[in-house]
Amino acid sequence: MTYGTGDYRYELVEGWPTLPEGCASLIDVGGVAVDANDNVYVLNRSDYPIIVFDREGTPVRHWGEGFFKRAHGSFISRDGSIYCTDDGSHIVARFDPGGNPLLVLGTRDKPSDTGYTRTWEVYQSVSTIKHAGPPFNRPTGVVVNDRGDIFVSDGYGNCRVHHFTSDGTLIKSWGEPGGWPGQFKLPHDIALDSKARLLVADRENSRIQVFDQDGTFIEQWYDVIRPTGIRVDADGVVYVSEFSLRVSIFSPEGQLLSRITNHSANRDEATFLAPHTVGVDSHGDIYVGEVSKTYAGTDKGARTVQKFRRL
Amino acid sequence: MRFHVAGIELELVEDWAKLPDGWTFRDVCGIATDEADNVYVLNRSEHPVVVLDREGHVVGSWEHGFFSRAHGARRARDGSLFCTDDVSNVVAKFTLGGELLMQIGEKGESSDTGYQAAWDLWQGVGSITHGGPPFNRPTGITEGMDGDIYVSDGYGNARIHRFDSQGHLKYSWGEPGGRPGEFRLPHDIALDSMDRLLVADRENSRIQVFDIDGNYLEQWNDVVRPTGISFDANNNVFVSELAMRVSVFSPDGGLLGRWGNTTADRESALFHAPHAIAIDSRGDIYVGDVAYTHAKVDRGANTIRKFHRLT
Repeated sequence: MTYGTGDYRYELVEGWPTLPEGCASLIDVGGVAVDANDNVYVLNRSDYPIIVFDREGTPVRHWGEGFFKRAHGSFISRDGSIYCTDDGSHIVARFDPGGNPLLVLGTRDKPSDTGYTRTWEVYQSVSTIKHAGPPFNRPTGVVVNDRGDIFVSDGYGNCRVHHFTSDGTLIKSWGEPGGWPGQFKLPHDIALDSKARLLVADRENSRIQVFDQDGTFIEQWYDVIRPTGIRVDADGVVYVSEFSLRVSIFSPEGQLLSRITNHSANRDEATFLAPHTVGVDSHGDIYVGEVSKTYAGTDKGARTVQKFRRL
Repeated sequence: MRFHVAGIELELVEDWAKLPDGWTFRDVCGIATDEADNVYVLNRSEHPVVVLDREGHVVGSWEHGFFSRAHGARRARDGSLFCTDDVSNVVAKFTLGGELLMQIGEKGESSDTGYQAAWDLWQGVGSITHGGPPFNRPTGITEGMDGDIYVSDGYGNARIHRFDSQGHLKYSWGEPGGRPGEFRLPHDIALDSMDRLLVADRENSRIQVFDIDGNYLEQWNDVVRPTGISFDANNNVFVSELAMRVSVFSPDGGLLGRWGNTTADRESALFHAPHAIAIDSRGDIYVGDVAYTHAKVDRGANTIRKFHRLT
């Protein structure tokens, strides 16, 4: 069974990955990021928050135990640092590849004031945001440019993108609640494209917003439904995971190239229950992580992250 | 419980609907009122329309099995009642007593749009590849000044259809997507005081405004998952939203106010899934929840809420 169309077709790699001893399930996978050597860093909500797998799915090491309240998003920078967001404790952290914390942005357990009230229902919660606030209120995604500057999408309880220097000094923030260009309803991930533009997964507006690094709105891409995660490969191709239970693949200009979808309308046969993040390695293989436990009430065990080999 | 909204004061009428023992609404999907301020509650129980007087006493009910899944209702200019049924793919006009006057569409036949019904709403919406003819799970209905009939279509389509008063299709507009004139789940349609059509574009979280020929005029972005549209005597626009609230707009789309759940507590919540709204001649407001379908709770008689207008 193959997935996708055209030049971007894939097959699911059965049995990938193998979990480390003692880890029964990944529970939810918040972020998947691939380093320069094609090691796959899986940020998840088990007791083993970061598990590093090689291409074959063998666990190499794990770290981050006790650090996260609710791991959400991740990015690996040019120097091999791993940046992770924790929307449960309102922080963003930088780690070296071995898991030593190098920098923490935000104050643990201290959300900013935006009027946000968390309720049992995500749309009701999003609707309580009255105004934008400073960093952070449940930050979601992070990306780092070549200078080491850090951009954070923020988040479930805010409606902003924040720009920090590499040492964590806030330079600028932009965004307000709403649906117009430059406004957000749950900015859920952020990426840099091949033209050094910022792509923001504006989840509950069902669009990708494109900005320059100063926060000037450039354009928006509409052919997504509830985008959750964004990655850009070495060719500038853009991979988007979506809560419409698919992964869409776009050209650098935003033209749809391929789409990986559930083959069946039956839940029992679903490939995806809640795609939340996508990673891509140097071979063009992609890794899709899901928050299937939180979102769909199903524990998919090791298969909470799935590898698709490019054909 | 009182709410001060848009310069008016509303009081929740506790336990307004007085249903006979053993009855429930399950879901209240559509609401309409007549000249005597009787309330016609389209619902998903064995009594598809329950008629209540303004004190909430049952004064009648329809007992036929016309509906597979009732969805939307609106009064016609001649005093009869339009209803949609999204599962059997028809819209119909009834006398207030429930006698069928006219039907558009054939039960059980759905148009080709690429739509594949799935267990997940967004997977289903994401499967729509193109707009199609009437119908694929139609949702809302309204009537023009000239008697033409407009239908929003729907869960499995991305179009508005215009029919003449006899039910003959004149033309349709809309394609799947997020640009102006495109739809993701057009969920209700209403004719405003300026002879414009307001469409609740639910999963794009906006109201799109068209002239009666289908020309796009503008959009209102300050809503989250709008479901139903109604007007008061001042032509202000009341929008029910799945974000657990009702928003009130001036005729030109300026936000006047909103009300909804006041706490994060699920048990005591005012709303569980607002889906329909109607306003009677005195300005009293009725809001119906699809609490059973959307939130898996049967709120019995409180599936509809009455707000008495004090000022």
